[in-house]
Amino acid sequence: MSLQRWSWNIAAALFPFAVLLVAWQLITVAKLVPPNFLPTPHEVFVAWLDVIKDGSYVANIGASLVRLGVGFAVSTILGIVLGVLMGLHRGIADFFQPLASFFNALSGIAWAPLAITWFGLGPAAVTFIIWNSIFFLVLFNTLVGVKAVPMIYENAVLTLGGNRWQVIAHVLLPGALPSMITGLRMGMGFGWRALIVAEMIAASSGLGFMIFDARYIQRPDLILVGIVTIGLIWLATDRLLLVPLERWTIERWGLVSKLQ
Amino acid sequence: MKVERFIRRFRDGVIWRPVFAALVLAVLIFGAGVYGGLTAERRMAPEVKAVLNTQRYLGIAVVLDFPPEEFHMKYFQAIGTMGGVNGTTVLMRRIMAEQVRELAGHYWIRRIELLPSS
Amino acid sequence: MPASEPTTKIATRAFRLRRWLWRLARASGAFLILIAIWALLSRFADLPDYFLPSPLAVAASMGDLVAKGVLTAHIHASLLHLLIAALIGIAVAVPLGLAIGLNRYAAGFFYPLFNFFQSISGIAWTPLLIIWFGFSELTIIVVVNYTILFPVVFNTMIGARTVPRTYIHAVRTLGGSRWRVIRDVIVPGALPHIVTGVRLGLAYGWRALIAAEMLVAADGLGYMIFSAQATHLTSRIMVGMIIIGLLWMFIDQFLLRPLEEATIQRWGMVHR
Repeated sequence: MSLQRWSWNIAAALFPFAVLLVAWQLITVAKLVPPNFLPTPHEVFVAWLDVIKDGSYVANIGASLVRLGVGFAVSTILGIVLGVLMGLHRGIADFFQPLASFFNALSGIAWAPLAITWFGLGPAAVTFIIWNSIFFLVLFNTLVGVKAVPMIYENAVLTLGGNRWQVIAHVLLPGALPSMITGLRMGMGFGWRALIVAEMIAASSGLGFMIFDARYIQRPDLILVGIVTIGLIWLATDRLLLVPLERWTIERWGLVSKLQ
Repeated sequence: MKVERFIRRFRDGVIWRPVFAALVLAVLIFGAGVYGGLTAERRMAPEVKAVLNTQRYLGIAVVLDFPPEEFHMKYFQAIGTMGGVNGTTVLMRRIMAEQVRELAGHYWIRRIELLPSS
Repeated sequence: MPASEPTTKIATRAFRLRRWLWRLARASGAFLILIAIWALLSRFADLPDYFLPSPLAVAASMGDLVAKGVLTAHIHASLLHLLIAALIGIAVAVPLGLAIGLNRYAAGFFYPLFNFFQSISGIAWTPLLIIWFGFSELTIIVVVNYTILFPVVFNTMIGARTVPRTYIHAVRTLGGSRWRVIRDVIVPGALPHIVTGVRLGLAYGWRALIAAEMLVAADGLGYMIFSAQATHLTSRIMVGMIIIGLLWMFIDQFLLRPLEEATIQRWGMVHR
């Protein structure tokens, strides 16, 4: 894509935010809302600089990302491995699907009180909650994906003399890939949300805690710093990590024509 | 042709499932309230019913089947002036007549009696 | 032929009943095993009392909570929150999505905004909303509303834009007004996407609801399990969790998925 086209795209994407910023400034200037309800953009910016300067900003983000990273890695690996193993045998997959469906329906945050009972307040409970949010989702999606691979492909490999492992590697994994990647992407989204909520309830550090605490000490400007940070980090993760991953794996196998 | 398609989709569960779900959800949301409302009369002692339309404020004793928990206490405190708890009975020193009717609509309340002083 | 017809009818009915029972057994098999493991763990594992109440204790707790009216009140509250937020959300999001989807410039303008704000879950806004609206049910409903809005608008937008232009042109050629186009072409064409959006939105919304109820601490199932934790009534926590999972499974399987399938069957111009 030409540089001109690329910069035009960026400008078009940023324009709505510029409009939003202007509207925000106008609302605070015109005093349409009580002053301590909505801080001005300038105040939020100053608060942001403050938190960066005293180091708590980076520390909180770091703590959050570490918990998310660990939880995400463990649950996706476990989820995919278990999902494939269970999906190998149609009977077993069918047997466990209702159970996986139930735990999938049980949102991660519903585990919070139990997590606090078992692990007390702190990072362990938060990671456990994240794990629950992601694991069952990935498991369920992998299960469904593996089940959906037509038997004809498996049989083809077996007829040509392949063994179980080759069936897994060449048929089941690629065939289940779209479902798995969807599960991963959704799982990351769920995990990120669960992280913020869990930190609000059960932690004393991290982005979620920072936002929650800011309300306690009556600093709506810090709340907004946190909120914008969440949006930016997710945007970066999604655009720079997940969408290219999806594009690379799925389009490579030509299973989906074109993604947004 | 249309009838066949309707029957097939009925069997598929496309029609009866949402209807069933809507019914169950309606019962879950409104069932307790409706049942309680219909049986409200039974819960009020005759003396209470007698003064319900004449007095604006009553003093009542709410008899439960169990010692009240925080959930119930919060509710009683919001609905009137509590006078204390006596085992499974909650004393409400001052409560408005409409609120008494609302209380009577709860199935978990055994009986509402009039306090002698009022 | 006529002599064997009654027997064939009875035979098929018995067969269908047996098959249905067999399917039920298979579906619940995994749950039964889980409950068995749970019962054994709670009995024989060396854990503090409040750690893992037995399945029986949880069942007894459920009965207790219903008798005391606690569980019924919280289920009523949570479902009502969801219903109100869903109705408002859908009523606002669908027209908004259609309007934005049909206008190329509007779509280009709003898409980055929506993409950004969608990633900020409604829960992150909760502390700010608490400052604005207090610890009230209004806050809960606003949070859930916000959460439901984005998937519905997004999917409605996509649905409106994937309607093939030939249909729109056909109606116009036949003399149909703009309104007619919207009513007879766009809305049915976008309907599968809209219902998918609603389903997705409610899924996120239900989770946001539980979280919001925990944070706002007014009423609802989220509040119930959160306050039960403070008093170490672990069996109540598990009652709440089971109800939360069952309720969503029920709503999704019995209400949302059939509706989604029905609209796709009837109006699905998109091959999914």
